Amino acid sequence: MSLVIEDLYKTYPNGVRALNGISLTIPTGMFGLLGPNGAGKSTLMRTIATLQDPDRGSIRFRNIDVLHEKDTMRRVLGYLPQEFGFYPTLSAEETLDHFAGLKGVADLRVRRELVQALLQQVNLYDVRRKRVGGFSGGMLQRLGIAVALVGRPQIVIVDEPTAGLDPTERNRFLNLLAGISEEVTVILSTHIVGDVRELCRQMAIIAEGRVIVQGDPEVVIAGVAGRLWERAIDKRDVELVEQSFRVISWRLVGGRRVVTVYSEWPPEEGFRPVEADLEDAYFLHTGAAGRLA
Amino acid sequence: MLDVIVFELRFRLRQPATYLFFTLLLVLGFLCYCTEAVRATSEESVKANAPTTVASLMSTFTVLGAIMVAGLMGTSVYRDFERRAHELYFTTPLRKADYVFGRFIGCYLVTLMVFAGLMIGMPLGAAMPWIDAARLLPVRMETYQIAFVLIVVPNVLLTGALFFMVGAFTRKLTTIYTTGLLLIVAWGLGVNSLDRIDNRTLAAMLDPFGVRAISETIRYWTAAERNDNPLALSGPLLWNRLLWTGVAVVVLAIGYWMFSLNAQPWSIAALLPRRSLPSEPRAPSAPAGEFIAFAPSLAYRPFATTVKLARFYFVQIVRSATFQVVLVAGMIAVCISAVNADQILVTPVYPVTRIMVTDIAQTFAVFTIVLITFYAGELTWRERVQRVDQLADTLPVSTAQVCLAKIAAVILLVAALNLALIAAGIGTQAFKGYYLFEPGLYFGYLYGAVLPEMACYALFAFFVHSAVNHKFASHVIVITTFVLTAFLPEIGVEHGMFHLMSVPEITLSDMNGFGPFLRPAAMYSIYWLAFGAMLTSLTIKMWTRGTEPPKGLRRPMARLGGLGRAATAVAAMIFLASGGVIAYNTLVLNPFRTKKGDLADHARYERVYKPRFAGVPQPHVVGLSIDMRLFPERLEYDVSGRCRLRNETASDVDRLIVNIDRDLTVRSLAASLPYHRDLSDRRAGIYTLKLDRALRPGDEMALDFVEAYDRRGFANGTQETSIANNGTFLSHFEPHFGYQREHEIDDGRERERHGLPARPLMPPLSDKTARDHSYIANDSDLIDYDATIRTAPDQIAVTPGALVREWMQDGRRCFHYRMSAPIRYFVSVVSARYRVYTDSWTAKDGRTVPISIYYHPGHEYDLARMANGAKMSLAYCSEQYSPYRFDRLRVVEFPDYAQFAQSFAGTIPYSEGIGFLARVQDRTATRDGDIDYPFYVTAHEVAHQWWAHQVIGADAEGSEMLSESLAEYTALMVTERAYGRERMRKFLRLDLDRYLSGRAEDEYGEKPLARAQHQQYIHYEKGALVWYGMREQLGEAAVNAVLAGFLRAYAHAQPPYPISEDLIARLRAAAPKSMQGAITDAFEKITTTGCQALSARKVKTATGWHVDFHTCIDKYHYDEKGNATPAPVDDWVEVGVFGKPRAGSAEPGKALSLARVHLNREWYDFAFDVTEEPASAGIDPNFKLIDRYPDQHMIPITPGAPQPRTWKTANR
Repeated sequence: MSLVIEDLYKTYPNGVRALNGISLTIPTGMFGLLGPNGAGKSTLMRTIATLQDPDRGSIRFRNIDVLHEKDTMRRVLGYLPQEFGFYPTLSAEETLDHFAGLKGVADLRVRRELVQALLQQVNLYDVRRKRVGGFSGGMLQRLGIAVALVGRPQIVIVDEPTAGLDPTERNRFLNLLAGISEEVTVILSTHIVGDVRELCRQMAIIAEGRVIVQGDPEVVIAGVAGRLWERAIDKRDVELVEQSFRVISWRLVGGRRVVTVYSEWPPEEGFRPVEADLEDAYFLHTGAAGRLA
Repeated sequence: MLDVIVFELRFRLRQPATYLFFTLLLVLGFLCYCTEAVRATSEESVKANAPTTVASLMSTFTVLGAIMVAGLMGTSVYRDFERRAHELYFTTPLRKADYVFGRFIGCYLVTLMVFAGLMIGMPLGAAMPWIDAARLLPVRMETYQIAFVLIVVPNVLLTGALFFMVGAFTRKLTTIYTTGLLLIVAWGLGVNSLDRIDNRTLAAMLDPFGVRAISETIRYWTAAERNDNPLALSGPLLWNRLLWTGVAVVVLAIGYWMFSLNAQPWSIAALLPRRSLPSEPRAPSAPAGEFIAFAPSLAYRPFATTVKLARFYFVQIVRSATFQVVLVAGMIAVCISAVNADQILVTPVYPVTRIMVTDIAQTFAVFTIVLITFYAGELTWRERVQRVDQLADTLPVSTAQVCLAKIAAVILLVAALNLALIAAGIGTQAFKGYYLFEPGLYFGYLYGAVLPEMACYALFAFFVHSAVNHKFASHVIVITTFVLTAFLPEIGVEHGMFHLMSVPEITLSDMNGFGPFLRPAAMYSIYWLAFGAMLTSLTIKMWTRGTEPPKGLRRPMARLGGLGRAATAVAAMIFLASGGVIAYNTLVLNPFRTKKGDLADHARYERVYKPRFAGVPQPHVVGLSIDMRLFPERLEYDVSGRCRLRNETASDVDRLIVNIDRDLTVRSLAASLPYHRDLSDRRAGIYTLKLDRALRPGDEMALDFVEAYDRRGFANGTQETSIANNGTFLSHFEPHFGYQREHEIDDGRERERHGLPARPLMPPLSDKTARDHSYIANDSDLIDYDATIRTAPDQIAVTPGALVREWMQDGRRCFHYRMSAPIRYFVSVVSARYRVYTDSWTAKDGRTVPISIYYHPGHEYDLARMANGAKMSLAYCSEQYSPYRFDRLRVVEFPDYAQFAQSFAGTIPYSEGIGFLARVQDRTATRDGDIDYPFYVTAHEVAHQWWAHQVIGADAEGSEMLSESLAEYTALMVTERAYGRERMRKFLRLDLDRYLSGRAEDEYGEKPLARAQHQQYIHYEKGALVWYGMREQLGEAAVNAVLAGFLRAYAHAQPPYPISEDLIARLRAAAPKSMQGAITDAFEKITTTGCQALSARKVKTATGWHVDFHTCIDKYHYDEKGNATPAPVDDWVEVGVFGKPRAGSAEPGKALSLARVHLNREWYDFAFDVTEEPASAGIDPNFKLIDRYPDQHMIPITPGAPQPRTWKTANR
């Protein structure tokens, strides 16, 4: 097992308990991390990425004690934070060259080739001479990905990477990640449940600083399969349904309210079974039922 | 519009910055008045809360507060853009005028409220109970209100309009602040570069803050006038205020006109052809395929990475707009300053590298400090501000590397700027046509002395930013620390080891290079660099890395690696070792002296020894022979010598009271009569020998002494420069006998503090005992002098006397000098590697006096002028007064550690700083000639061979007139003889300016010429004017006859020595009755006339031109405080009309008609008929009166019939 997280606790000075005893074992390959806002995902990612320390617990990556051998960890790490910027006066090429140099790509010729290749990979080659300050959100995101991947890291941590990308770019990016995940541990934190199901062999859902569920996405889905039911209902019945069932989500279909509920047995008349999705498992485990406002 | 104003007001009043600025100004205003600075002024001088002083101070605050105005007013419109509210505003039906002017008026009102803090703080400070009421005027609120209305209101309007509009247009915070910075820089430059006598009016107009207008208005006001007269809106101030308020209105109008309610900011880039922003590539340039496996080999080379990072940050700084703006402003400042750096006195000097490098380094220092402070903050915060921090912090680069790279980038910046400075210095030299560049000196000074200090400052700035972790607070702390460090000596922390990050100043000299300043500068550089290195280990430890939020004050601390710990340990060892060396040098090898301690020592001397020794009869020195060994190589010397003493009193002397400077080690002291030592007090520099048998009146004895200056190492603060590697100048010779009044504290305030009774600076004329000795020595009249000086083998040593023998002995070059005639006990020794310029002067009787000038090789420029001044002065004095007493004349150069020349018997030590580098431009067809001060100063010093060395005044007030005023008078006469009478105007105008400015700033209160007490502006400038004026009234022959007679009566005299009244009495006897009043006014009273040319008209007549010239004249007497009382006019005054000036000349043209007329009422109309066309008319056009309106003596003549007189009171 490549990344082993044990018993991580973190309480912020303002009293927020961001990590509340997280233990995870993350193998090589893509690992999806799901969780609602404030679940502690970013804290966990930053902790693995050597940016902050937990109050308690340990993290090991292969034979690196991440919390105590930060510099060693940083040599094998590629990290893409949720929010970031660049030096606005540099061009894309200069930016990437700068980071490549600092990541240890010392040879000038090698570095140039690497930078060119990466720029092509993230489709920024045509604008490589432009100042980063003028880049759109999507372009910045792609440049960030290139920075995270420069120097061939052994563990890549990406926090909400596809948020600002259009569908084409998103595909492209996910393919990139999939491509490297053969030998590399990739931790992908995301809101987009579909990404995880498509790409990850392993996943975890965390909420309130705890791991709620962990495993193969298909297994997680299997855990709810056959227990989900839905029906369209009138506005006046909403309260009744909420009281009688464990509601997973509300949707609008053609202007009508459709509720999905969890039940081990078929509920009363009107409900029909639905095929389980990872999203449903997510809603079930996090308790964050998608409500209609 | 009212709504917008109210909105703005409300918003501003909710902002903490408003109250912060208000409080800051209130506190600063308060501190201006309740601190030590105020209490130091005396009762006679201008009070710190005099109306014009208050106005100047407020004006200065509006300059310094410009940055606050930028913050308050520049951000008004900018704020809407920042919050992206502009699109909301601009789409409402708000009118443009309402929006723009509403905003402007609102924030202008708030800014005025903020500045009103001054109006509260300043009077509050002055009213504090611990303030001595006598030092200040009674607090009058209207003083502050008037100053506020006349100065602050228009100034804030101007700066506010500027910032408001810049903010509205560029919508960038940096441009607002850069504008503020540029404004202050431009102001500082303008103010300084225009400070010449001929363009002061221009400077007064052009100063947007009005500081110069105020100072121009009150330039010649006396202390009393400055204290009593309220600030009035008239003269230069009125025009200045009108001009700049007009400019403010124009700025607002243009701004309003150009402003459009448009969402796009205005920028220069928008005016240029548009460059396209990078847009999304349309088609992927590479297939969206698999990630290409690309695993480069990785290598971690910490040093190379750090260098790479440092270069990266350096390039970032250099590329940034702020840097470029500051650099350009700084270089402009440097160039302007450098171009003017060769203006010493009123005549340029050769721009030698020493002068250029010091000037550019000083001018640019403030820019370097601003850049260091700013970029320490910027680089510390760069990643966090650009939000690159999470990317950068996960890189395999250690915190130490990042931290050191950023520090290195800033230090590299300073190093690179030094190159630009050198280029500017060399460029300026070349521009001036001076090509003897000294790159070694440039590099040595800028990289050896300036760079280490700036590096220390950078280390400190980064430490603060890392430790405090709050950008604005850190900037405040860094700047405050820097300013406070400069003030540490003022509050009694005088030891350099506590002056954080500051290296003692270096005074350069062409003769002596870095001199004794090199070692302390080097040691302190090492000391502070080591300290900075230790701080840097903390900087690294506390450096913010990662996203860990701080827990109160506690932050995660990084651990230093082994290398870091080792480096810190080494730095600590170096710090301790260098600190030890400094402490040993400044505390053990050299005594640590403080201002306070020195004053206490002087007070103790007076308290302890005045009662015991003052008036105790002492023998007079009648002979001095010394054998002096100079060791310029190690800055030591010793003297063994013998004083011949004779009891010239009527009573027995049973005890010798010997004063020997406390810096000298007394190796032995032995009387030729049986004695025993009784008191030995090195702290007071006093030693006594009790004679076993008293010395009877008329008897002689001898005192043998051996004294040594044997200090090693360096002292705290400034260094001893009298003994130097090259350019020793020793002028204080010991021992002296009896109680020495000159050791007493002069300053009245300090005397009071030490419980000493008030006393005048010099004994009054009525003091009969004052005539017992001269004002330069109280223990001797004339002495025989014989000296052997042994110096380094490559140096020449000079002392008064004829060189009897020169030889080599024990590897030392030895000189034996003997004075053929007795001289005053006032001698000096000079030694350096000289070259000698020789000339000679032959008297009418055929006697030839050789003249030699001992100069530093390279300083050949002015030797001929000096020799000429010496010859003409010798000739003039010999003809007019008496023969020259000595058989030779020497001028000897000494280093630029002091800027004077001093006349010893036949020998004149002369600073390299005041004549050897003068670049005197002679008069040509197109320009007025410069004042030839090498000639003039030499003439003055040679005249002292009569006026000091032949006759010298008693130890009483006014005696300096007998030497200094007469030497000045003689120098003026010699100059007149050499250059012609019409050239005297420039000299006299300069003297008048210095006198009028000097009297206003005199802390001790002005005295009449006959009773001046060490007041240079009186005994030099006023003395020169008065005596030259006497010559105008009585004629040269009559005045010189009086002087020659006076000389005959008192030359070489024993007591009683003459006082000023003796000479004035002789002058009175030679003057007609009508002149007696003028003599009283000139010598015994403080008097000024006020001549004003009011109007002049000319009409063409058949034979030429007719001119009508209206004038007025008044006269005032003053008391010591400058209170004026009107006096009747009863004076002879020149009136005349002048032709067109020569091209390129600032002087009036040829006098077409010039007459001396006797005036005795206020208004006079003159009529002239001249054949040539007149251009200007003048009353006292050549400055022969002591007149307080020298700028109003001349008026251009306009064509037309004479105007009826306007009976307005002349402004004063």
